[in-house]
Formats: sequence, C-alpha cells, structure tokens
Amino acid sequence: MNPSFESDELRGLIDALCEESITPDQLHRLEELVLADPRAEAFYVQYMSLHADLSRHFAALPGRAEQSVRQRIVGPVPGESAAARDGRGWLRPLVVLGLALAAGFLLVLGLWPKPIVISPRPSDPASERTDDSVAVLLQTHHAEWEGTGMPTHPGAPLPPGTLNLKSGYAQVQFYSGATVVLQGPAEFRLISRTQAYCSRGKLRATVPPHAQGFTIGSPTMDLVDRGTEFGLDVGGEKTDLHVFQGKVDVYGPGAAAKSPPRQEVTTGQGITASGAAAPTPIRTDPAAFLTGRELADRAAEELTRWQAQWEVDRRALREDASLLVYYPFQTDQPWSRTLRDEGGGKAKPLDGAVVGCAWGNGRWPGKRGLELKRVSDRVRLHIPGEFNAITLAAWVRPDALPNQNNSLLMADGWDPGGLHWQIGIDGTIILAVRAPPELEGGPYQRGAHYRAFGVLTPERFGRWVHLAVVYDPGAAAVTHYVDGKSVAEHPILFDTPLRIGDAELGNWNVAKYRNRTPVRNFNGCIDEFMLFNRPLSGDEVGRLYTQGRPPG
Amino acid sequence: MAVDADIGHENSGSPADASDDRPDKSKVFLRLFLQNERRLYAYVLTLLPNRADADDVLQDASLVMWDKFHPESPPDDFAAWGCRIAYFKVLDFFKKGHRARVRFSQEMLERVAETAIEQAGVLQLDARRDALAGCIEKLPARDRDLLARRFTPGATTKSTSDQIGRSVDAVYKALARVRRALFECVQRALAREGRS
Repeated sequence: MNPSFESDELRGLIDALCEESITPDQLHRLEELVLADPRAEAFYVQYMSLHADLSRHFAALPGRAEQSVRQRIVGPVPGESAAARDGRGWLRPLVVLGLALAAGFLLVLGLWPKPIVISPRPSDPASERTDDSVAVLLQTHHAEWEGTGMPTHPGAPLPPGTLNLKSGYAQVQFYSGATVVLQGPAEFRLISRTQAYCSRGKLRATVPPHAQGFTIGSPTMDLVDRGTEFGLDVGGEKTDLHVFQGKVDVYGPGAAAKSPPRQEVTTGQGITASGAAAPTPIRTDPAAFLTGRELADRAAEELTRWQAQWEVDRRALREDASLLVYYPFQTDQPWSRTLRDEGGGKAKPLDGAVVGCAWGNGRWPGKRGLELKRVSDRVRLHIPGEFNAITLAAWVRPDALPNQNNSLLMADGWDPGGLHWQIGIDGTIILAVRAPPELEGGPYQRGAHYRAFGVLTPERFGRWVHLAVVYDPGAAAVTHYVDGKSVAEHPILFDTPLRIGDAELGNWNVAKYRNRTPVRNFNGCIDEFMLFNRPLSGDEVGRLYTQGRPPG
Repeated sequence: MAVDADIGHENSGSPADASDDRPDKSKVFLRLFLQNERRLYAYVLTLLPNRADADDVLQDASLVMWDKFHPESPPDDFAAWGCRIAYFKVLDFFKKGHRARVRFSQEMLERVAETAIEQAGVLQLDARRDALAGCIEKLPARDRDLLARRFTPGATTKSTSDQIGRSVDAVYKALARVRRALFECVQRALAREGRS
C-alpha cells in the first residue's frame, strides 16, 4: 500500500473536517472518495490519526476519558450512581479506601478556599483595601474551639490573635509558608507571618526552606527554625522539643534574635526544658505529633462515614412528596448536560438543562457541583403550576458578587406572581415577588422585595453556605435562613399565587420582556438545590443544613 | 463489525469479589489504558471527527472498559479490545439521537472502523505517533504556538484567529499547511527507518 496517496480534493475535505467546518455536501463527497479507493481510506485514517495525536499533544490537560477513569478507579462519585440505582450500594470497601486517600490527598494539596481580602470596600476609591491576615486555617478535625474572636472555619484567613483549641486538630499555614498542626488542648498565638507563640499544647511545625527564621515562642524557650520539621509539646512548666528533620536554634524565652542561641538541635535530637534549668536530651518521637497528611487522612475517613449517613438522609428526604424539585448535582458523567431531579411526589422528574457551566468539586471532595462564571452559564428548568407556599434551599459557594443582582433562582421575565431569588451586589439576599395586575399602579407596582441584609459579605466568599427562604402565607411571613438559622423575617405584603414556570438557576432570562439582558449571572459554585411546595419550619431548615454540612 | 450485545451493560461483581481484585485491577488497567489512550482517541476521532463528541464517547467507552476489565484475564490486544468497545459507543452515540456535529453513513463507519483496527499495523499508526513527536519538535516556534492555541480546550479556528489577530481564512490555511508539513515529515521519518 502506498501511504502517500493524496489528492488536493481529498486533502481539502479532510482539512475542513479537522477544522470542524465541513458542510454536509462536502462530508458526502469525502465518503465517496474514501469508499471508492482503499488508498484514500488509508490516507484518511492516517491523517485523522495525526490530527488526533496533535490534539492530544497540545492539550494541556489529560483527556477527559483519562480523568474519568481515574475518578472511577478512585471511587464512584457518591450519590445516584448507577450502582446505587440498581441496589448494589455505592460504597465498595476498597473504593472507600481509595476515596479516603484521594480526599486526603486533595486536602493536603489545599483544596480549601483561598483567603480573601477582608476589609470593607473603602469609601474613597483611590485607597486600596488592606488585609491584616497572616495565616490561613487549612483544615480541622473534630475541632472544638474556645471563642476568642478568631475565625474557626476551614479556609478562613487568620489575623494576628489567639487560637484556643479545646480539643481536636487544626492545621494552620502562615503566609510565610510554615505549617503548624495543632493538637488540642492548645493555646497558640499568631503574631505575624513568621512568628507565633505557644503557651500550651502540642504542635508539629513544618518549615520549608524559604520560610527559614520562623519563630515559635514558649514559656521556657524560643525556637528559631532553620528549615525543618519539628514537634513541640508545651505543658505546664515543661517544654519538649523533637527535631525530626533539619535544625532549630533554641534561645531563652523572649531572647530570640537578641543574643546568640543557647543551643542548636538537629535531626533526630530532642530536648526537654523546665523552668530556668538547662535543657536535657530526650528521644524524639515522631509518632506523637500528627502530620498534615495524617490529619487529612483522618478527615477523609470521617468524611467517608459521614457521606454514608448523608446518603441515608437524602433517601429519606426523597420520600417527602412536597419536595417538588431536588437537584443533588451528582453525576458520573462530567460532560452531562442534564441536572437530574430526584424530588419525590410526581410522575415526571423536572430535570434541568445545564447550559455552559463546568462540573467541578462541590462542598466536599467527591461531591459534584456546577461552576458558574460566565454570563452564559445557567441551568434552565421548568416548574409548572402555582404555589401558595414555597421553600427554596440551596448550597452555594459565592466567589464574588460582581453584578448589581446575582441570580440564585429566577423565573424568566418578571410576570405577575413571578419569583426572583437573588443576591444584591452588597450581599443582601432578596426574594422578590411580582404583584398581580390588579395592584399595578399601587405601592407594590415594583413587586415585593423581602430582604436579608449584609449576609454574603466578602469574607464569606469562597466558602460554602446554605441558603433557604420560606414563603408561608399561613404565617403571613417570608423568612430567610443562612446556615440553618433565621436571619430575617418579613410580613407578606400581598396575596398572590406564586409562579415559576420557565426559570433559571444562577442566571436570568428576561425573555420577551426586553432585548438587552441585564447581567445577573451567579459567580461561584452551586451543588444542591431544593424546592418544596410547602413552608418548612425553622427546625426542618436547620436539619437540611446540619444533614448537608460535611464534617471539618 | 461484530459487537457484543451486552457490552454497555454494567456487571462488575458483588462487593466481596470486587474488593479482592481491585488494587491490582486499578494499576493494571490504568497502565494499559494510558498506554493506549492516544490510539483509542485517534480511533474514535476517525469515526466521529469532532473533538468534543469524540471526547464524550471515549469517556463513556473508558468506563465500560474499566467495568469489563478483568486483570486475571486481560485482553491480548488492549487497543483492539478497547477500540471495539469504543466502536459500540460511537454507534450508541448516534442511536441516542445526540446531535452529532458530523455523522458518517453506516457503510463509512463500518469500513473505517474495521480498517483502523485490522490494518493498524500496515498503516503504521503507532510508528507514526512516535515519529510525530520528533516532527513537532522541528516545527518553527510560530507554528507550534498556532497549534497550541488551536488545541486549547474549547478553541475553534475562529477563536484562534481572534487571538493572534489574523483572519480565519489565514489561520485555516496555516493549520492546513502545518498538518501537511507534519504528515510529510512523518512519511520521511518512516521511510528513513525503513531504509536503515
């Protein structure tokens, strides 16, 4: 066979195919040529194979098939996987192990939201906002905190101040790069990006070379790190230092950098000091100090157990006939364009259509969610009928509120009874209802806007939050909930049946109403949405939050 | 081409026996899959010449491969085995009424599908793949940059032309020229090998 067979016509048609601009007529002609001559067929196969290889060679990421195979091997995306549907159960023992390891790995890689500048927007636009945080709380495990005014949720930027960990574990990373795993009970003061003080408790510090000079003070000694990993145990009058790797300079308390070091402790050495007495050597015990990796593994194991319970809870939830729409945002198929509705109580599911968006990680590793970033991103849905009462609930991770209004769920257009659930640019959550025609011209001609002010402020960006709103004509009240707690309650302004009809999650379609569309796309991730056609009680909303909140 | 009727059906074993072979299975499968991924992708793209559709189908097919794969009796020729599963998934793709952007006739599909598997050796598809890497290195930086932009996920001829500030037509012609140059470079490389 002569593989160099070619004709300009054949080559031209294949080029059109490669550039994805071929017309049906051209495609037909291409088939004729290929089927008429085995040499043309060979040329076609070789040429397309080259095109495919080129595409793979230049794609920055592994192919989607590879990604999904890796994902499948590590463990099925929990939830309504095929395995769960046909009753085989979604957790196979080794899958659990794989999932736990993968989750731990993700935690170690720093899956948590990045710190955000936290000062309020300045009134003078010329002055730049500032941020006084010095570290980030990477992860926690069974952490119980004594309130000291410091943020305690994973991912939180930490300003200088004292962390009081009553029990459990917490991993803190200073902006200099040094990482500390604290074991409660511990009292640990953050002083700057390169300095901390431990008045009691156990910690393991890992200091990369570029963070050399990281200093931890304690009642009996000050330590200046020279690029290393060490454990510190401060209890009462006694302080133990275990150097696992590298070198630590030991000073008298409060003496660091003022005088030459009292002592150098290097790899495999340990010392204990109590009161003013000279330190004495001890054996190092690496196992006594939890590493970041071990912490991540424990968290992952707990997550796996928690997920099993979550599955049980949500199965029970699906039995609730008033749960009209339930999008768990779980799919085995990251390319899927369908958002499956698993709500009970109706013959036909109200599946949503994913437009744009990218499937990403939801609120825990392994949970799927939809990333919305661009003005095109949205989920189209249709919810027929009229409602007297309604409850909307969603897990969302707002990354920013760039638009005047940022959609959660919005009925197309703005028609009588139409429902608009959205977030204002200042973080106010708004449920708006359009007044019926007979009220047009009156005080409610712009509709009713039930607001919860100042909920999603910038320091909450990048974190998962559970939002719910209950419209209850029985109690004549609209109540907003954030993380299961009521944050605002308003009397209902007028009676009208609520309508949703054609609608969008995370965006708004003004439909026939106008040609120019205001930009209202949500910016962040959504990984769960529920619509009940009844008012949920405060306890029930609280349960949705506690059942849906992953540990950590 | 003969296709197993139940190939799309998931039938991995009970939890107990699945756990026994899983660690081994992951490693063995992943190695074989990654070794053959490019070949499989090329095969699917030859039948379904749209990169996004081909990605979808290969992804689907890869999960079936994983479910069907038994490390104690791996297929003799993983690529051919995988291609057959992928072929089934291509048919499935059309059957499910996906709006395929490009759709060949059944006759064309059958012919090309068979040729690409049965004649893979004669057509030197693997050797071509190896030679291509060397040819890409010899490309002028400008052409490599063009390809990199063109093959960014989601990119089109149009978006590439917008990016580099040339007309769509110019970009189209440049890409055709680069492909042709690479194809000829691969031909020469294989001819040299044949002589030595």
